[in-house]
Amino acid sequence: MLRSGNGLLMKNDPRGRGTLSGVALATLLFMAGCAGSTSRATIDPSRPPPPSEPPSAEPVVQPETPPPDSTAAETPNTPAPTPGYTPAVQIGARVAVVRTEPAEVVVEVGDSLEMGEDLDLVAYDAAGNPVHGVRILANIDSRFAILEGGYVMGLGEGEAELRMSIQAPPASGTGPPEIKTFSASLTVVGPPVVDVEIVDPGVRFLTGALVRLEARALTAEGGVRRRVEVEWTSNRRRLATVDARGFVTVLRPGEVTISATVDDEITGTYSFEVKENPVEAVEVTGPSRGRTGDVLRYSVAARDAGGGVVEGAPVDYAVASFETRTDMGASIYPDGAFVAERPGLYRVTANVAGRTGQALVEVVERGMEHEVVVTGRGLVADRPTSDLWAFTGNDGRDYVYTGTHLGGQRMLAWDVTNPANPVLTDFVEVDARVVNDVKVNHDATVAAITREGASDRKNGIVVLDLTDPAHPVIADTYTKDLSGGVHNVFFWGDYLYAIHNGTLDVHILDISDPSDVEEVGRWGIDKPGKYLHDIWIADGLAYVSYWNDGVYILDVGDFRWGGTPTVPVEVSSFAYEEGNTHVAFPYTNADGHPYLFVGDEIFDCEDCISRNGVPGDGSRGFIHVLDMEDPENPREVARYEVPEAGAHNLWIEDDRMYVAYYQAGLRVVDVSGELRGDLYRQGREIAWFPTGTPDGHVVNSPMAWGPQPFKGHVFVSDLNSGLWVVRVVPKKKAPIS
Amino acid sequence: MRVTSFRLLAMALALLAGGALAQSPVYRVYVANESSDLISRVAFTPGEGAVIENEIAVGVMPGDNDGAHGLSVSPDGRYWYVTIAHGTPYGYVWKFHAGPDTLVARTRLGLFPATMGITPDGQFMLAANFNLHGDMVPSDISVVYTPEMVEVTKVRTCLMPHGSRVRPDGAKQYSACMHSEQLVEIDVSTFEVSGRFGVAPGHEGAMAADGGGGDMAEHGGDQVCSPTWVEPGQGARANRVVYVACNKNREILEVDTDSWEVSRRFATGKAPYNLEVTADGARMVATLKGEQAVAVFDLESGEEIGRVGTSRPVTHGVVASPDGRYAFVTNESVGSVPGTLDVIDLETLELVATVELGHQSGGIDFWPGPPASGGVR
Repeated sequence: MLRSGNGLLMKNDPRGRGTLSGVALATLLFMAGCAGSTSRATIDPSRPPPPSEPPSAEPVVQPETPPPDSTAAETPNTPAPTPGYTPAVQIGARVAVVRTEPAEVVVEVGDSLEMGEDLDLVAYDAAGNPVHGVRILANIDSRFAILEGGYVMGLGEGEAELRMSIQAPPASGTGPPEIKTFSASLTVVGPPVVDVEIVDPGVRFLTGALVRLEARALTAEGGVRRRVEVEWTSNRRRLATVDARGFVTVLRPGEVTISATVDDEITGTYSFEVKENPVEAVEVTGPSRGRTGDVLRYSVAARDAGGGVVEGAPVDYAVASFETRTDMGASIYPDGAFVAERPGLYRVTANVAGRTGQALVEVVERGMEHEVVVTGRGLVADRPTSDLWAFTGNDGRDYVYTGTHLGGQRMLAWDVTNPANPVLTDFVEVDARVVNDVKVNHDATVAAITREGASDRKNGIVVLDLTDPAHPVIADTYTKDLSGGVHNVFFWGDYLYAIHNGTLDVHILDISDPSDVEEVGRWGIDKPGKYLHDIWIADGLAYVSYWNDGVYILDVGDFRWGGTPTVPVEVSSFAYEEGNTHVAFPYTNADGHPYLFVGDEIFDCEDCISRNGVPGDGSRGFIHVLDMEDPENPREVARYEVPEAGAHNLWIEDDRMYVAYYQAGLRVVDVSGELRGDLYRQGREIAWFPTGTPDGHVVNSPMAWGPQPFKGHVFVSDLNSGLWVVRVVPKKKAPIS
Repeated sequence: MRVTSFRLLAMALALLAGGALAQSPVYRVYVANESSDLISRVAFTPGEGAVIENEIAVGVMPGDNDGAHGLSVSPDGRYWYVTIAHGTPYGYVWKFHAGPDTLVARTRLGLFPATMGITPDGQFMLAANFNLHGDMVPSDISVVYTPEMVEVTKVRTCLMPHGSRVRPDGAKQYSACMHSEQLVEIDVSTFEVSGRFGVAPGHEGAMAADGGGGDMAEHGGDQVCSPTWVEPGQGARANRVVYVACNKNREILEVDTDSWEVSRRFATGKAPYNLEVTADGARMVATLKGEQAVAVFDLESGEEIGRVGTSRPVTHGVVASPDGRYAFVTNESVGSVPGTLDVIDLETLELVATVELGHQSGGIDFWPGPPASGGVR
């Protein structure tokens, strides 16, 4: 049932029937005994067995107003009421368990269940009899579902907990009522499946082969439902069997049809002809030597008895190490892409319908160690530093602007023409506690800084005139519809895209006249519980980081998908299990691989370093690498994850990724060539530098915020110490004596 | 966390003087500094001044301001609670042991949880989810069962609920709806809305409890009240009246919650924001956010008996000592200038102490202190 209007409150009814009044509640206040009011709630003699909890030793009270026409059996023992408590609390003593009706609660993403209509909460005593007149409070704390206005709404596929609470006299018989809490699981499923498609594996089914089939459960909107149970069957098991995971074991020649069924009724089929396996030999071809992190491509030629190539034979790759150690150190993917994390000698094996071939590969250290040399510093010790932007001003000199955080109020202007000696030339002070972001337009004529924590709670942005970039002046202060605070901005032509903490939409501002800013467009997703954090734009595509909803790719001037700067068009999106999508940076490396590097920002990590002395309060998060060869279908292919810290902002230039990794300082990563697997473990990190300092705002505590390579140097802002200017140079080897 | 030499000195002095202070009446408050993600515990000793006893960092996002907003101490003084307002997007309430100031639990609430009211038995905490996000839609009061820190329900009330307070007998909770021009009453025994009262100037009056909590435009009038706070009466007026700060209309309404009528009006200065009634019900202190001052009213006569300037602008929160002698007032200040706590003598109507805290000092509550400390209970 779709949600409409306010939630409904089911009132207790002396007839034991539920009536609905139009009181809007965020979560449901539910009177047990309503069961029986609707066809869904009718008490069924065949209802599930009584609760498994042992009978309560607590005295049991008779409900003050027992439902006279209740079909439920009355509780045989009726204890005296506990004095001093309201009847609604007293009756809670009888409750042994609260259950949902139906017992299995399932809601679809984007759909909702109306409490009291589609979903009832029923209290039972220890004997399994319904207890009427109990107030049941219900709530959900989950990213997959919410309970709002009397409706359970599905947000994303997953499992959630429906928490149900009642009040009861305490065991001691005195003092305030206590809460008894019960829970039920709630499953949020994707939209209904209308079709099932078995993906053509692109191989021939030869006897002796093992081929994995993939079923795609398609929705009416054309999407693919992620969490779905598929039942696989073969029409001729003598010729080919299929297991519950879709693996087909090919046995004998003949025609076979494999079926994949979802929800017991939606079936897709795939037919093929099994042929006798002609393969007699398998040749594996590929590099015999490589470095850790290099993606080495292997191919296979399957040959018959006459030496001819057998086309389309299925290939299973495997890799084995000759080293004696606990971890394998290398992987090979189904497409023949091999990548090693550790040096050593490896054997690549290809299995083609029971025949195998192999190749050896020796992997050596990547050997790209560099070191970070500090060129200059711009110490900021009196307030935390946030983001930065480096640029060449119209006066021909180089500048870095830095923001400030947590009581910062200022944007600082640094002349970095001599990187060894950043000179603070001026600052701009605004009514804000956080100037989180600083951006300069392409022509270096205008800058925009963000405001959060304004004393009048009107935040928005401040536009700066950079006629004199050493001394920027305020051209306009724009707050309209941005009072909730702006966290990040990005320039694209004459437009500024502002991330608004209030609407959690992207506000598109025409900034062609910096003294007269005007909103000309807005874009956002329509999902409850959304949270927006950042935007980056390159080559007409915007990358919008929408936290647990992932990264959204928008056409804002690429034009292939019909988008314009003021009317963006969604190209695709990509969400992942970890959520917390914080930042995205597109980059095509020198070998022509287009990637999107997506950083997440995760806290409440139990295994991490504590920032505030609170257990589990360290930062985590890593960089996901998405293959963007097809912008409509991003695929995650690699990751970069420093185990002990949390990623923040990043920048990529000349095949080097610079990541401000909070307490792990600045990290420099080689992202050349094809990327697969765990880049950190592969030794692609070529240098790192802890940005802590004894004279910092917080001493000796790196908290790297953002990097930007610029004219041969890397500028890094650190929350605790300000601005760093560094160079990344090859590591000097110790002289041989 | 910014630790200035001034604060270190103050904390050291507090520790050194601990033995001596134990013999003197000591008043203690906790203050939330919203833009520092920092809680300050301040001790005030009459004649000696106010010092920071402890600073507790809260929040988990170093790259974002988590926004410590509302602060409430449990009635028995064993715990304090702070709402972490900003969230992604949902905010939290954190529970701490008072004294050791160690974290007990964290519980997720709604959008921008702000102020809290706690029932006298300490069992339930009711937090107003102010909801600064997006289009104006009715928001909720989160009900948290504090022994287990479980949010057991949300009660939908109105647009931008704020100023959650529970009256002395614990039977009702009140909040103001800044953009619905309403005062909303929740029956704590049922967690249902049991009363609504319109506060739009010229249109004050009872509304249907099950009516909407929509936009103030529907209530008409050019003037708006924009209520920011509800403070229950104490003493002889306990459980009978509440005081509503009309932030934009420069007045405070005394609303009789039996008859649901405005029983008195108190003209104030610019932007009355938070209110506090002394435990004996004799006086009411209103922070004047737009005037860098507090106004003190004699509730018997209904007269303003004094207006005391505060040390920094954007005067925000106020709590009175249980003996009614002092009012503790927070000032947010502006930008990078830290906020302050002011102590105002309610007998002499003078500012008697000031201490600089973190940025945007706001939420405040009185802490009776550990039983053996000699603190004023």
